[in-house]
Amino acid sequence: MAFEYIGTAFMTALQPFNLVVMFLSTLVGLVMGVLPGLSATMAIALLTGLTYNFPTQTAILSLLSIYVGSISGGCQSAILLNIPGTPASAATALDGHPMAIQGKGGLAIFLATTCSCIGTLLSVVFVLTLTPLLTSLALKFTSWEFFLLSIFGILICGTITAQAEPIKGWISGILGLIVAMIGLDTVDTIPRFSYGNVNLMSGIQLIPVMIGLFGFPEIVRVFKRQLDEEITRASKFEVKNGFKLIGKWIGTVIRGACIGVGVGIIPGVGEDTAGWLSYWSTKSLSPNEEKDQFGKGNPHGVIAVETANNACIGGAIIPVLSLAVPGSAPAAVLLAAFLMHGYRPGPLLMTESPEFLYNVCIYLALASFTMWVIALILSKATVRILGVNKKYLMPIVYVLCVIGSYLINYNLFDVKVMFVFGLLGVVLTSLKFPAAPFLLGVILGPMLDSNLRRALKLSDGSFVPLFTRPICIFFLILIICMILAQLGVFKFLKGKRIAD
Amino acid sequence: MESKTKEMVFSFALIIAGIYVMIEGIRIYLRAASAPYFITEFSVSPGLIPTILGAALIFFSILFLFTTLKREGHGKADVLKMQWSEFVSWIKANSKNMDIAFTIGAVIIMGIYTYVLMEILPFWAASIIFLAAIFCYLRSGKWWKNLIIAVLGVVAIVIIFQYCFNAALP
Repeated sequence: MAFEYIGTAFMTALQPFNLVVMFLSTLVGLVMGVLPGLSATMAIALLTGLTYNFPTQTAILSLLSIYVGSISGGCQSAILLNIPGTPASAATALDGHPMAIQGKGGLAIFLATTCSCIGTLLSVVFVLTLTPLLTSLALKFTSWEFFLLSIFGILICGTITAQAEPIKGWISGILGLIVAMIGLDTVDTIPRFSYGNVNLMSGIQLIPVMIGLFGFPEIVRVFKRQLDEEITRASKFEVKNGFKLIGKWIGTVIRGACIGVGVGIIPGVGEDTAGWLSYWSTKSLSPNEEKDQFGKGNPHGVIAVETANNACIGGAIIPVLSLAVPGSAPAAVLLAAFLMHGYRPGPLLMTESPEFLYNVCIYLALASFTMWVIALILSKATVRILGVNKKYLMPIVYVLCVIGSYLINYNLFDVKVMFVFGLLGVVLTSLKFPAAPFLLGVILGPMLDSNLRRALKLSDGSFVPLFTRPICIFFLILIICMILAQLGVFKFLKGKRIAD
Repeated sequence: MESKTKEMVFSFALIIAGIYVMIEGIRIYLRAASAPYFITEFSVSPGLIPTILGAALIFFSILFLFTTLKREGHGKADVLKMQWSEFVSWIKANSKNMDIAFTIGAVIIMGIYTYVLMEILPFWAASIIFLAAIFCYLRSGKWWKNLIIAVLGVVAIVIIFQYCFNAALP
């Protein structure tokens, strides 16, 4: 049966119209990834609304191509400009830019692009094998487990995205959950926070919130930022040498892919973390004489980062498909897009639409091949793309944000919502509150609310099952440990023990 | 303004928001308990989660406020007074800051486009006016170049969306 699904997915993707869409979407993703300030999340958020009129399979193919393209495109500006196009390529600049200064920019781009392609392909293998496993585990989940899973997802996302101050991430997540409460409640259809407004009664749409939170702050930032950009031109690719280097460090490629997938599975942790973690592990495991070369143009560093950040794409999609919990911010947007196009990812996915998993895997694999070809061709024009005046580009991007928000429901109210959340996004960004937990809160809010109330209805208002079910106990311990650890309780107890 | 002061002001705003959400949660419960719903049990009421979220927001905002107030060598009351005076002086100083004023001006133009122009004009007209205005405001280039790019940009968008994607624009 699996081979039949794979064959059908191939046939769908290889239809002429779909091929054109895949090509264009990857190109758009790459260009958005190349341009500093336009992130992968923004690229998917912006174009989700535009795929609304596409046939479902074409839309899914288009969005996955944009995802792969935008994550991969960031490396080119990191290498040539020393400014990562997306946060995912931040670590690429460490060795990529020194390589470009040494006249090896072409080799750096070739290595980064090829490893991005390999990383995505390896992650597809993980998606194919881990998703059914995780889905069958998720089938054992009842309302109590889903309630705790939502809390766990928001907490871990807040903890990791806010880094030094997890409390900021948690507050951001709570704000997102509060926004998710707006509208008719899913159990009894009683209006909440809607003040008699019909538009508010139908709830806050996810796409305008996403575009506002992630796109608006980037647009506003350009209004006050004057970049002094010095672009280094790319040299020849050195294809033979490039493949030789990848073969030499194949262990790094596989380790990077495993790290990328592992990081991607953790809810809310993005491609940037995967890149840094892989870079750090490669540097730590390298012999002492090589360690000193990192940060000075070592191709090993570029290979480690680019494999991991692209492998994170597949990793982030695994929890989306099996648990309906996104693994990264772009995956959160992708989840919303899947829902918009009529798919219901989660434990029942393999029962309700088993072909979807294979479609996603094949589309990802084809998109990564397309990305490899286009990215290498595009690198010749990267210098020109990077030279586009942002003061012309960003207002046009805002018009696209307006269209993206409007097309969800053909309602101007959603455009206004996008603007309001855009202002909130500016405030959150300026105070260094991460936006990803906020978005996750908006996504998981209905799941948290309906599952807790359903569980309480079934148990006649008793919380006892929460402490008697094994998976619940596991989640509870994780949640409590995470909160206590972040509040410094363990450190305090350890310090006290040493003092005694 | 020092980021600590901004965070302190924001945490106060969050506490107020938390109190509001909690009160609103209780009001939702009271509404659900009356006719025609008669959901008298709080644990299954639609007001349960908003009340919990409001309480959680207050709790974490207070915790955040305390971590913000942690400054060596000062009592909490001293810090509060100090932060407030910093905030007031920041407002005074930044009312003359051209960079912030310039950004606010650009955001106002975006707001006018979103809330006024889009309501009264067709999409293409509103967008050309918006783009031309903001290009000129940002001093992106010469006025005629700004106008040409605005018109060409909107024409390209309309062709792509209205004709290629078959999407109805406002």
